[in-house]
Amino acid sequence: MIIPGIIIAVLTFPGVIVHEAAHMLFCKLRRIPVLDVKFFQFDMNTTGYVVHGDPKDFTSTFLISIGPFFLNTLLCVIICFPAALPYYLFNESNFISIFLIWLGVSIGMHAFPSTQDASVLWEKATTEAKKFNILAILSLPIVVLIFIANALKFIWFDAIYGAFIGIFLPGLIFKNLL
Amino acid sequence: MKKNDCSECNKEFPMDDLYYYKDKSYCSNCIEPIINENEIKEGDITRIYDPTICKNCKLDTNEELPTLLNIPICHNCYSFFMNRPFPLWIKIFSVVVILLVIGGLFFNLNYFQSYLLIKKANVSFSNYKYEEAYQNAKLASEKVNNLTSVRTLRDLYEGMYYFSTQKYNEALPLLKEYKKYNSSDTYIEFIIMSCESSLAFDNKDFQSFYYINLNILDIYKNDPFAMLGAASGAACMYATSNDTKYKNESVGYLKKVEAYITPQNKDQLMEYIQRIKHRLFSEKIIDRDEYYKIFPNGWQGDVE
Repeated sequence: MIIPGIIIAVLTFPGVIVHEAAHMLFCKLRRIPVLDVKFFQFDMNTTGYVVHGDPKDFTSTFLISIGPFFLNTLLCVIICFPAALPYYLFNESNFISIFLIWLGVSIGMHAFPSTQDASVLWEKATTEAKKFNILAILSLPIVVLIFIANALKFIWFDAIYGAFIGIFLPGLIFKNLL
Repeated sequence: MKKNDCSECNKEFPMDDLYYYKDKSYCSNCIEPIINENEIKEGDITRIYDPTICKNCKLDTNEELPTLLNIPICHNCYSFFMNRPFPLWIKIFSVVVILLVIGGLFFNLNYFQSYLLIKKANVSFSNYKYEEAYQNAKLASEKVNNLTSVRTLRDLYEGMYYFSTQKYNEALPLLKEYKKYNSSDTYIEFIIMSCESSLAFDNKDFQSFYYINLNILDIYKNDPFAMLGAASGAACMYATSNDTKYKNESVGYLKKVEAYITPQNKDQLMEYIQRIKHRLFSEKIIDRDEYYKIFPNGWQGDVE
C-alpha cells in the first residue's frame, strides 16, 4: 500500500523535527552558519530542511550530513529500551510505554540522511578520498548504504529500521542478557 | 547601492534588479524576449546580488559585505546566522522529550526491579525458602502495581509459605487464586488438595480427610506422598471406626511406597511412614506437633 510521505511525516513528526534539529545542532557545533531552517512543514516534497553555509572541512560535512543518523538512532534506543521493558519482561503494555515506543520509533525511522545529504557527502568524500582523508574513505560505503536505504524507502525500510532498533533490538538484548 | 546599465535599453538600474545572460546585464523588461526567443537552460540566466546590500535585512551599506553561499550578508545577520538560536518551541519540545524519557525510565525501571525481585524469589522458592520467596514476590508485585502475573506469583509464594507453616486456612484461598490464572499448573492442584486434606485433618473431619487423599492418589497414582496421604487417611478411618479393612488398606499403601524410596526422599518418607504406623498401632490420632512431643526422635515401632 502506498501512503503519501506527508502522511507518514505527520504521523511521525517528532522524527522530522529531531532530524532537522540534529542537522542544525551539528552546524552549530562545527561553527557553520545556518541561513534558514524549517523543523516541520506540510509540504509533499520536503517536510523539513536546514540551509547552511559551506562546511570548512570534510569532518564538518560528514557530521552535519550524518548527524541525524547518530542522534535519531541514539534517541530512539534511549526512549524505546526502557519503554519495551514491561512488554518483554511481563508481556504487559501500558499507555506510557506505547506512547514512548511511538515517539522512539518515529525518531528512529527518520534517522537516515536524505538522498540530497548523501549526494553532498558523496561529492565531498570522493574529492577528499583522493587526498587519502581516512574519514572520507570510510564514509564512502556509509554513503552507499544511505543511498540504498533511501532507495528502499518504498518497502518501508525506514520504518523497518526504526522498529528494529526501537522494538526488536531491546527484545533481542533482554532475551539474551536477562 | 550599486547600479549598472541594462545592455539592451542602456537605462540604469539597481544591481539587484538586473539579470545576467552571456556576460551581459539586462533589466527585467529586456530579459523577457531573450527567454522567449532562446532555448534557455537552467543556470544560463543568473542574478548578481549587490555586494553592498544585505540580502537578509536589506541593509544598504556603502561597503562590500561578506558573503554566505555567494549571498551578501551584513555583519549583524552574519553573526545571527553563525549563532542562530534554536526556537523556543524546539527548546520546549526537547525539554518535554527529555522529561518523558526520564519519566518513562523511572516508571519502567519498576518493571526491571520487579523482574529482578522475581528472579530472586524464584531462587528462594526452588531452595524451599518460602518466606523469603514470598517477601521478594510481594515487593515485586508492589513495584508493578499488582500486575496480574506478578500478583498471582506472590499469591503462590505466600500460599506456599502458609502451607509450609501449616496455616492451611490462609494458604488455601491464595493457592486457589493462583490456580485461577494458572489452570495448567498440575503441581499446584496437588498442593491445593493436600491443603484441603490437611484442613480436614485439623477439623477432625477424618472421613473427608480419607476421601480427599483417595482423590489425590487417583490423580497422582505413582506419587509416594499421595500414597502416604491415602495410608494416613485410611489409618485415621481405622482409628475412628476400628474397622480392620482400613488398617489393611493403610498397610497396603505403606508397602507400596517402599518401592518408591530413594536416597533423596528417604528421610521425608520414613518420617511420615512412622507417624502412620504409630497411628495404626496406637489407634490414636495425634497431630505432628503432639507426636514429636511424645516421641522427640520419632516412634521406632512397627505394625504387622
